[in-house]
Amino acid sequence: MNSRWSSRSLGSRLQHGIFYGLIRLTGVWGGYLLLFFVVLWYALRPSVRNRSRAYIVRRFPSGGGFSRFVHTWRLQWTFGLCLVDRAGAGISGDFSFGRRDFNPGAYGVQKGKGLILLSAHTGCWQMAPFTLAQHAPVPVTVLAHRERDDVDRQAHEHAGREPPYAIIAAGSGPAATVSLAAALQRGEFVCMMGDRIFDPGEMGVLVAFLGGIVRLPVAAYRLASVCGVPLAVVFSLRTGPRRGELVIADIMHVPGSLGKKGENYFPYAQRFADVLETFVRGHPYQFFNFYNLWEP
Amino acid sequence: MDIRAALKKAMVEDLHLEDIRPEDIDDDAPLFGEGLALDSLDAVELTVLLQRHFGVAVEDVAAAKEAFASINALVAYIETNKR
Repeated sequence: MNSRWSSRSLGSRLQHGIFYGLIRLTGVWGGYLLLFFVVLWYALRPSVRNRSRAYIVRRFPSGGGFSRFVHTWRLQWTFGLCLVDRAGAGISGDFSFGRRDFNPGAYGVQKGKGLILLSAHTGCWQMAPFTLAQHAPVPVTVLAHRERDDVDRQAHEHAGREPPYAIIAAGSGPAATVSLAAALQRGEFVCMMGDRIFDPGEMGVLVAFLGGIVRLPVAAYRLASVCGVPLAVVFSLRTGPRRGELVIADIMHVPGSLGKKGENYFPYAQRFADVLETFVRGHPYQFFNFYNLWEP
Repeated sequence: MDIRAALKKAMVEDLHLEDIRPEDIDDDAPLFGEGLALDSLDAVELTVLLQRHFGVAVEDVAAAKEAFASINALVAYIETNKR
C-alpha cells in the first residue's frame, strides 16, 4: 500500500453506524444535516485540513487563510454529500445517475470490442460502476483497492447484495491481471483508476498537473496497448441531491508494441492529467485525493 | 524448433526482455517476482503471446496460476492445450 494515503475512513464503525441509522430513518436529508456539523468539526481540525492543503493551494493559489478554509470546507462538504448519497442509494435505492454523452460508439469504439474505462476519484465515483453495470450492454469488471479494516460500506453492502459487477482487487498479482485481459478480449468493460498509485512498486510516470509534477500510474495504457482495446477517460460528477452524471472526457487509442518501459506511456498519462485538470478547474470541489499528490 | 526453445525466443522478443538471451532463462525458476521477475502486466503479454504463437488460451485465474509458474509449467500447459 502507498504510505502517503489511506483509503480508510476518518470515522469509526460507530460513527458510520449513526449515519446509516439516521439515513434509514430520515432518508438522505437527515444525513445531510448531521454531515454539516461533522464536516465543520473536521474542517476546524488542522490535521484534517492539511490532508487537502496541497490541492487547495494549487487549485486556489491566490486565496488567503480564511479563503482556503472555506475552499477546504466546501471540498469536504461535497465529499461528505457523495458518501451520504452512496449510503442512501444502498439503503433505499434512491439515486439517479445520468449518462450525458456516454456513448462510446460515437467516439469510434466498436461494439463487441473491449473498453477500458479510466476514471479518477471525482464526484460520486463509487456509484459510477454500480450504475454503469446496470445499464452497460456487456458485463463490467472493476479493479478496486480496499483496505481490510475499512468500515466504510459500498452501496450494495447496505442491501446485503453482491455488486452488479465483478471486482478484482488491485495488487492481487499476475493471475488476476489475466482475468482483466480476458474480460477485455470477451468485449467487456473494465474500470480502472488513473489518478492514484496504489502500490509504491507500481509503474508510473511523472506528468504536469495543476502547476506541479505528479506521478500517475501507466497500467491502464499498457493494458490497452497489449490487448488492443480503446480507453475512455470517464469522470463522475455529483449534480445534486441523489443525482450524478457520467461524462466521457476523452478516448485514447494506444498503439501496440510499446513495451514495458513507463516512459513509453508518458503521452497518454499526460493527456489523462490534462483532461483531469480541465475537469478539476470546472468542478474544484469534486476532486477527492486527500493527500499530497505533488510530494516527490 | 521445439516448443521450449520457441517459447523462450518469443518471450524475449515479445516481452521486451532486455539483456536476457533465450538460453539464459531457467526452466524451473519462477517467472514472476523472483526468477525472471516479470510483472503482472507481463502476464497479459504472456497470455497474448501464447495465443499468437501457440494457439493456446489462458482464460481464468486458475489456468494462469497453473501455467505461469515456470517455463516447465508453461511448456506442459501448451502441450496439454494446443489445438
